[in-house]
Amino acid sequence: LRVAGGGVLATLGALYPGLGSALSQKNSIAGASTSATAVMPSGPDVTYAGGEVTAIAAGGVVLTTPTTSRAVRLNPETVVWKEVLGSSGLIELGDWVDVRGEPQVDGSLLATSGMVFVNIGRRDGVLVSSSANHITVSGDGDGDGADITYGLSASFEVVNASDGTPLAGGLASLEPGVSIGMVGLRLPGGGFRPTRIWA
Amino acid sequence: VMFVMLVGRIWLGSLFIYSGFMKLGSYRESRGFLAGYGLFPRWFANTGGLLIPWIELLIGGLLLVNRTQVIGSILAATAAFGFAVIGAVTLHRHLQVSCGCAGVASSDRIDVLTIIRALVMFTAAILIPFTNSTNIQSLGILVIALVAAAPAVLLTLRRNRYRRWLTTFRALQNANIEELTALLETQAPGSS
Repeated sequence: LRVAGGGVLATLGALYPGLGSALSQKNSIAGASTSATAVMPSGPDVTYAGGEVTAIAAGGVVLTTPTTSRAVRLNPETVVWKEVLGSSGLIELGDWVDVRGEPQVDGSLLATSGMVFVNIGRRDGVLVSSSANHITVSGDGDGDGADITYGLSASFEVVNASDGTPLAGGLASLEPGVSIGMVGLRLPGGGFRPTRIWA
Repeated sequence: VMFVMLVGRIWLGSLFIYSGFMKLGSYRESRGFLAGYGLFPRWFANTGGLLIPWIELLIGGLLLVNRTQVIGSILAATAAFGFAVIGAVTLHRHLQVSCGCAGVASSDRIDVLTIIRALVMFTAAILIPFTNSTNIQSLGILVIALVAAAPAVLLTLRRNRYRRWLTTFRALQNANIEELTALLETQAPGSS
């Protein structure tokens, strides 16, 4: 019966394009609750928060994901990474922030200094070529294997993947064809600027 | 043969009505699908995108009504031939374009099946005038039209429900953000 039913549906789908999705289309976030009150998070890791900055207050920021929001407290001395290390003043509305910290009884998260990452991203690929301020990689996870050239951050460093120690020769020590990973700043419009490269 | 042609006529008529209503159900999004092919001047694609759902409804109606089935079949054959040519050109140019056959519900890209379907539609349409297809009773025409329109009605109701849900969700989310912003103005109460 299941096979026959599938056959009938497939035939109807061929005769009437889009009929299957019209009858079974689900809202993409239909599972999300419309109850959005301040509650103590009970996910697998309450010491982490990530989301888009939707509000900035004197004491911190509010991070919002498609399903929830969470207040993150930032002390004046909290060190924030946004390509360079700095104060929480680097954070702007619309930034994507990943934070690790200490959960508070009111449901907020007190950010740990140095564990606040703004617009951080990662790319992997195979080194094609490099220059003093650019790097070209292929197989960058886009699926098409096209070469992509990135402008490097002024403060980029090249480290050993196994122990994180800086490589003496910097980029020059990397041979074309080697697999590399990069972490850096995600730029508006899908761009990326590596700050740390490992091989 | 008459029975097969009757089934073909009902399918073709209901397909045009279904497709027209599905596009009207998401008119704002669907009217740009013709421009997506990149084959026509902008003004033509935009005008065509606006008119096509209504033309499809007209063709579907003409096909089902006994007295107008011949003119309906001529228009249907022309439209189906156009779909086939557009599909073939799109495939030949290796363009990854959504078919847009049923508005936003058909996100399928144009493929061989799209062209085969258009050619089957064309064949069915040109055969209709050459057969003495059984007349469809008025009630039958109404039932076919209603059944063909049902998915579009369902889709529209679901989209409206989703919009309402989204509005409520955003309002609650904004209220929550304001509440959390106010919370941040207070001292941290301590670790949990």
